[in-house]
Amino acid sequence: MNMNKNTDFMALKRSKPGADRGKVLTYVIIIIIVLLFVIPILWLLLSSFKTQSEMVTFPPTFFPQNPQFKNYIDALQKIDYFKYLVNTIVLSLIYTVPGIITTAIFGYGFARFNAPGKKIFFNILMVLLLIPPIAVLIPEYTFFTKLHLVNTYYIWLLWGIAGNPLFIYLFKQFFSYFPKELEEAALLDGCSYMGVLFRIFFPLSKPIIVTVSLLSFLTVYGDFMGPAILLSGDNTTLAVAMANGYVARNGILLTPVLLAGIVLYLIPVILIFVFGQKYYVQGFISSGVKG
Amino acid sequence: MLFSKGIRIKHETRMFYMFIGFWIAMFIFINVIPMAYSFYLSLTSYDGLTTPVFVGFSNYLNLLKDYRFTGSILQTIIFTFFNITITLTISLLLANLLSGKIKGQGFFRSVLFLPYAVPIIATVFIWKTLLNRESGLVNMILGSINSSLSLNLLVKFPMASLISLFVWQLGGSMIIFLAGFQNIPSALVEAAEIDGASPSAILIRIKIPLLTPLIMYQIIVGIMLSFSIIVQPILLTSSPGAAFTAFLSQQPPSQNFFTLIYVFQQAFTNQSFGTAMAASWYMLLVMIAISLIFLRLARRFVFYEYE
Repeated sequence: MNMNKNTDFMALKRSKPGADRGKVLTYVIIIIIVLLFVIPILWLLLSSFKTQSEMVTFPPTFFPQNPQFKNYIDALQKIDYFKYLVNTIVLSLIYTVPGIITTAIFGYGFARFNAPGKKIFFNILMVLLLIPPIAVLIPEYTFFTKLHLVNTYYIWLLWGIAGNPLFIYLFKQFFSYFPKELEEAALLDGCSYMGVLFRIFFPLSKPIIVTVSLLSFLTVYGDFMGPAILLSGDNTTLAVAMANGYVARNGILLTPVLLAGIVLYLIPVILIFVFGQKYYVQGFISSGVKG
Repeated sequence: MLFSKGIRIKHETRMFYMFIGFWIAMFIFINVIPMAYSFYLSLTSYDGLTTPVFVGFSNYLNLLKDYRFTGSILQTIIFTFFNITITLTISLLLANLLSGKIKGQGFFRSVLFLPYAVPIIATVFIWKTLLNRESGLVNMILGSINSSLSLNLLVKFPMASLISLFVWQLGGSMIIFLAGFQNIPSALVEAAEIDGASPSAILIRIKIPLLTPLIMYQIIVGIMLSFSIIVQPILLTSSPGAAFTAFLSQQPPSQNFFTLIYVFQQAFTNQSFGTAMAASWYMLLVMIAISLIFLRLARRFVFYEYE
């Protein structure tokens, strides 16, 4: 990214008196906006320590009157939290790991070979990139019901190896920057194209592999409608189990416990975001700026 | 010479289809066949268990007479319009604000982008907690100004509440705009600044015209995404039930009753997959029509020279 490209210039010439006041104003505005964006998360944290009665009586309290750390224990016990967490992680990995391999193969194919019909298939890929997966969920549901795949994890395996259009596109972009000489030398030495991909390109593709893995993992980790429709009972993921499970025997939603569960659910996402942000953001930008 | 060239091209073609062939097969298996099957089902009466009974286009005709369906299409279009206008305008302005020379730019960018990464179910309950009458911060602030201002925002202004949730998650579009701003040749902005153009004039006269292809792309993506929203409107205003079907059968306020909700309720609550499929084909048509109309209208505003 060329973040400093146009800023160096400005540093040289900006020294007008009015500029300073404008700058302060800019910072004030930005800080207010940043606070507005952070407040919902802080409110979630505060509310997760409140009591059930605090959540349902008017007016709202700002700080928890009597911080309930027990909410977090309840969140782990009221539903079988760890089982659903394991389900979610397993499902994400089933989608991600085999998917990375096939996606790289498809991306390499699109990046390196010219063939009649390529343009058509590439356009199909671009259209698929726009179609939200939920639009085909019910057709897929009726079809998978016929195949007796509903309530199994095979669906996610199929989705994974079918290749997410965004990930195929990201691999294609990444591979097209590799110099042709790199593979030509290997081909002359008798290496196959698959060999080139897995022995030469793959070891050089750490950034894109990390990007796609993170995006892929988070896609399944955060999904709600997919598991809600296609999985049931004990097979379901944390997102669905939490939305359904934190209900008292009399049918009342245990809001603070649910919120505590959500805080725990968010921890991996925040960790991925903080440590993998460089890759995550980069992948995101290259998906959008293709124009 | 010519002969050997012919062989080489053929080899490359074979290689292309070797690499892509499995993708094509999976595309047919996972997209084409289910879509074709869903079109077939849209011509039948099907409860998901017994054999579908062919009924021709009656599902399509009946839908046009169902005011809940036509109303949901209208609501979806209204929502799509406001959602896109509001979120994209704000994210464009934020991206412009952040693209200047600012210390801590990376940090600010991360914080504004973070909500985008928050999973759907978490965002819904965060928003519920924030806007609720009994537990909400917004309500607390409104109430402390004047107790008559304190009301259940989720019930009184359901669509505005929903849109505010997507404003919170605008990080995705903001970061794409930000990258767009940073790709604008600095010489253009420099020249305007030397000529004494104000920052707002630079934004409106120079930057936005250069970003029109990106804005177009974001609007098209926005249309697709706005039409595919279902979880947030349902869960935002209703409490979760014990089972998934119970969750789907909950009615959001009429302002937030969108076509996709109608489709899912027809399929999973009413067990009438034929109607559901017909409704989703209508929805697809409306989506495509809106996108095409928009592309047509926008054509003369788009600046193509800069790519």
